[in-house]
Amino acid sequence: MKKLITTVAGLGLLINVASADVASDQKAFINHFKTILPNVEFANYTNGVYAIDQDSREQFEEILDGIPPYEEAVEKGGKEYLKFGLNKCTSLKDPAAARVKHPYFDEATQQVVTLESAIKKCYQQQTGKKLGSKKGKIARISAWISDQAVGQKINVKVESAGAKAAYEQGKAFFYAKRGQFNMSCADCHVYNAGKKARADILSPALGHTTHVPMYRAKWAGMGTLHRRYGGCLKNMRAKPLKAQTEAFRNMEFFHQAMSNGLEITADRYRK
Amino acid sequence: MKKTISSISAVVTLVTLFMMPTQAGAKEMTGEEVTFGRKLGNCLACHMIPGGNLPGTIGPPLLAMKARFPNKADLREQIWDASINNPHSIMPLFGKHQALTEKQIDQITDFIYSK
Ligand code: HEC
Ligand code: HEC
Repeated sequence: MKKLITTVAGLGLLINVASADVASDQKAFINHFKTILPNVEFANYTNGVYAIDQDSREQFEEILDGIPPYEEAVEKGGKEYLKFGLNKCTSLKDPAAARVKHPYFDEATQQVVTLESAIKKCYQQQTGKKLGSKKGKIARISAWISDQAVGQKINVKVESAGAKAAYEQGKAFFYAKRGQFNMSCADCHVYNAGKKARADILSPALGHTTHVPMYRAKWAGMGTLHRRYGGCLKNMRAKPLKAQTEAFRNMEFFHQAMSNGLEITADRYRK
Repeated sequence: MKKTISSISAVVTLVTLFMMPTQAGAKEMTGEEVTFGRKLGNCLACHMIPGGNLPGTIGPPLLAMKARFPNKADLREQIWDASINNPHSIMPLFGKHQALTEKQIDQITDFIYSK
């Protein structure tokens, strides 16, 4: 534990994100990316690697200009939203508002509530059945809900002491070295963003949460943000965690807050 | 913490088991194969190395290693535990975390040293 704290503090010094204040954390985050990727406009971070590499950008635009491979799935998600009565839950009855409101810190339970955890809860209330967390129905429904908020901005609020604690835990998880390879999320998506790991360009963490759930060619389908977290943990040879566990929800709280002010987009294609 | 330690050792055990076949077959594996193999050194993920395709750009090119490391043991140490030279290094701790066997690290050291 002591080791983890020193690592986090050490990295904090590197890009100066040691403060608990979200706005100043984000300012340091954005300044770091301005330094390493001076040609990328803030608004363009929603496009991940496609904001960095021109060739990949052209392929991306061609895919979006055609019939994007996720279009049908998202439409189906809209039908499922009604079919399973998700419009009857207070948390989801206004889908655009639901995307903007989540993730938030719930004072009653002292837990971060993500959009997918709200969908799961509502689905169970309405149908009496459990819903998965990574792909299929949950990804389709969550993508459709998010589509209703396109053009609105991510606006995660971290206000109470409990919320700050969850945010700090999420931030620590993101910066901590873990697994057999001894890597952190920040190693790839902060310090080395824009560089290549073999032929893959590493995307900046800024903007990571604007287009989720995403369609991935490698998955040949859609997946939630937490599905991606699991995949990256596996590549780091780190202990796998289940989607929607507290550690992932807290990380998402931090991760989304770092994209505050960026537009939610329906361009959910990734390689 | 105790839990982490036991799960790390579980992972290490699993990985060691998983690597048995490669170890057994290591006789036929060349230094180049161990260095380039995606499930082994996978050094090309981050480094340009003469003779390797599609290198990443995260680490420096591995060239003129004899000039960079007059003492070969220092090169081996960098591969065994990259955190000695840079505690924040993204480079995996191949020896310290037993991602590779001692023999594989020797093979990689020899191969890289010839570049
Ligand atoms: C060894 C490098 C590496 C590490 C460490 C790593 N990732 Fe990734 N990650 C990648 C690569 C490569 C991709 C695919 C290309 C891209 O979009 O960056 C990716 C993609 C992603 C994406 C999708 C980006 C998008 O635009 O859709 C997210 C989100 C993500 N990673 C989060 C994480 C998190 C959270 C962690 C830590 C738990 C992590 N990654 C650790 C290499 C890494
Ligand atoms: C995930 C990225 C990554 C991987 C995989 C990786 N390295 Fe590195 N390596 C680095 C980085 C970054 C540095 C620069 C120093 C530092 O930050 O530790 C480095 C430095 C080095 C150096 C020192 C170079 C110098 O001139 O000082 C050597 C030698 C080296 N690596 C060899 C290897 C070998 C051999 C492998 C495979 C068995 C390997 N690396 C795998 C990222 C990586």
